Amino acid sequence: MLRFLTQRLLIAIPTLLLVTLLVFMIVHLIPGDPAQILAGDMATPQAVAELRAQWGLDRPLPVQYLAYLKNLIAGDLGRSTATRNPVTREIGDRYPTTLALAASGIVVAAFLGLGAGVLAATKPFSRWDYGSMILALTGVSTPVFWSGLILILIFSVWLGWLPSGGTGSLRHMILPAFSLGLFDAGVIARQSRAGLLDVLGQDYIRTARAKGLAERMVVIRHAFKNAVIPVVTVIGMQFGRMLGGAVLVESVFSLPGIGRLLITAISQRDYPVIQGICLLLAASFVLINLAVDVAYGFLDPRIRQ
Amino acid sequence: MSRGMPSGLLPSRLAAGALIVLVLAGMVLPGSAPAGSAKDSLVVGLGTNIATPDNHKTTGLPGIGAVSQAGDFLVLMDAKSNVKPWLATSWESADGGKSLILTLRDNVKMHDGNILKAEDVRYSIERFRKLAIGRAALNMVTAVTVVDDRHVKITTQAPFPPLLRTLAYPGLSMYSKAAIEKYGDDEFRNHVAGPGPYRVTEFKAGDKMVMTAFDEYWAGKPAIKTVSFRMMPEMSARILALESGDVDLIDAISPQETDRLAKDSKLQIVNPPSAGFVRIYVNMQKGPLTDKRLRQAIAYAIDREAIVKNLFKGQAEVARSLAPPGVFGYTGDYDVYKYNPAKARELLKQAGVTNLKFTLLHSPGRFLLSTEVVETIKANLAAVGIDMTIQNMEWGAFSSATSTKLEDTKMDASLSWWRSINGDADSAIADFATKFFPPGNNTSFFSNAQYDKLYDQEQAETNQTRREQQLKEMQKILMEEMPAVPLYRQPNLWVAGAGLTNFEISPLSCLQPLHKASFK
Repeated sequence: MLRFLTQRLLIAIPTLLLVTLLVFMIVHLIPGDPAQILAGDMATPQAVAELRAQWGLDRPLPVQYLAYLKNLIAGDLGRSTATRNPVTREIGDRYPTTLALAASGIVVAAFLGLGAGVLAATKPFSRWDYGSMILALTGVSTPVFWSGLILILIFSVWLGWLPSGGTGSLRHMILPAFSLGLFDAGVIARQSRAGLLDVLGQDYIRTARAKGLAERMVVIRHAFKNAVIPVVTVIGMQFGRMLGGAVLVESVFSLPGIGRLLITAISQRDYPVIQGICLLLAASFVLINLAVDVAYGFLDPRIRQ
Repeated sequence: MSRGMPSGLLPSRLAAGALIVLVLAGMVLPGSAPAGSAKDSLVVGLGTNIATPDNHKTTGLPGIGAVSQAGDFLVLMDAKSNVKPWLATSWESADGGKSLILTLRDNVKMHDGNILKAEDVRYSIERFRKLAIGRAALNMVTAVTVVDDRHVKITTQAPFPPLLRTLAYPGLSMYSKAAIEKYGDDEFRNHVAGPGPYRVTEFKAGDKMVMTAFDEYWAGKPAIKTVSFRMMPEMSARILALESGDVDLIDAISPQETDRLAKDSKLQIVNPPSAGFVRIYVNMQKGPLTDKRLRQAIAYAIDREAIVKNLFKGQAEVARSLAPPGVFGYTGDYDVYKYNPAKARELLKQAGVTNLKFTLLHSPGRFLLSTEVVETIKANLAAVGIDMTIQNMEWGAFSSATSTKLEDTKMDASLSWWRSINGDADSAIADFATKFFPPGNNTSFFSNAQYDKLYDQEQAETNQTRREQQLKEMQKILMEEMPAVPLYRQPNLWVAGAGLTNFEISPLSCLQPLHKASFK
């Protein structure tokens, strides 16, 4: 397992290098001059040129990229052109919120999705099945922006139970987690229903039932573990997507996450912050994939061997 | 117990379930507030981000207004663009109008315990000038010198009458030099110390800034103990937060929402005059609109009254000049462009153009209802036979396309926003001088010898009556030549919750010092 982990981590290095190169090229190729944007409408051409020189943006692109890489190896992601704060601080301030949001979102998604999937698969073609799948389809089809506003309307404005947004306590995370998790719950429900139905039709399940085991034990002990392997992949992918794609939820609930930071950075052509966030997201994806592979090992002993 | 269930599992599951329910209930139940206690905290939901609590390094106007609560102003500009003494109690001109000497208020205490002195003011102005906006706003300043502890002298290259009004810009906060030197230029953001009514006690990037009343504020102890500014980019979320009571005051509200909100008797809708207004810049040197008659035809063909009435529900105001109403030197006397499609057709005919086509650059979401506005304009122009293509661009790309030099520009026209930062027509129209061709801000490439001459005269004129006349002459030329078609003044819509009173919002959409704000 250790060798496997080391190999995977080593493969991640060229992947991340490629990410830095691609992101660097993309952000520099899109039109827009960060110095002009940051200097503002009123800035004189001289002020813009000074800013450009100050940030090293007047140097050739390959020189800028190599300088970036050199600093990166030393653990320095540079400074935001918008705020002049170190990029590590900008991201460090925001990443915990995004992580908490994605983690709570994926818990909600997994809890609701697996619950609905198991219910639907164990009572196929019943009203439970149809009901669960209609809810799953609704979850997948509902824009998180809209579901977020509806949740605020119900639980903050009408009932007054939960805060409408912001941070401060666990209570602040409940509505965003549900808003974010509802979409993925739908995906997980459909995936787990299909997987479980497939497994429940296999011979060893018939054997287990023939031995007189209770249906609940058959499902939980024997079928679920096998059916859940592809679902774990989905959960891993969804978690990675949530880290970078929760910007709508972050906006609706006014959460200070990296999704919002990235959007602001793009609009300001804040190259160091854009590059820093993309690198972090790529690294997060690599780690999540690794975690998914490790989880496979626990779920399926054959993979461990 | 169910068959097959391992013994002892159910009770532990029940216990775990009960625990989860209890935890969730604890999380869901609203936080308790002391019953009957008077409200002494204010929560403001802002649509823009506050980059940092250090005003000399932040950007974005309503956010600057929040941060300025710690720094305070040298002079204050009221809603009618009048300048009022604040930290500077009086001022006098010197050196033939090239210098302004400010007298500072005596014994003004700052958050770090020091007394505000002329050196703090000099240091703060110099620090502000290092920021792009500061450098642009005060680019005519050549020196800031300390006369004595209570007097500061600001010298400009030539007499610059709008200087005093420019000093009212809310980004120009006064800070303690000792605190900046003690903590360092960067780290000062975590130890902001100025003479303002509130001191920063917590800042969380992208989330909130919490400020606590500074009881020794020179203008009196603030009535509200805590002011929190929450950064809430989504307008719908701001409105819902106000309706749920989570916040007490919100900004940047669409006029479409005001009818519904006005029905709630607990809410107050505030729409003070805005310094921001919207115009169509037209390329005067290249492309299809170099003939003055065509630009005038466009102006006649756009139904600005209908835009204001229908899209903005009457909350905006038709722009009668390229300067906003109310500022020094403003005149709306030269706006002859009342909606007149027949006149527009006639001008097109006179110009011999039968199939006029041009492209308008537009950055959606940059300002209120701009997409609806450009669609309306497109329909208005189509009605007189002008084919306008809307090219939507993300802001960075738009900014780049509109600041391209003449030899490379491909812009026919662009929809943009401008404002007077100092309550003076000068800062709204000066950029039409030839010397400001892009990459400067004369994005119309307007070049007019008479205008340039008036601009030079106005910049050096110390007699305010003559200067006012010069500014009006400049507006007359602009309205005749139409380098930009004035459309409307933006609304400056804020909504306050129950009982909030004694707060004021400036034309730049910034909260004025909040020390008198309270809840009824």
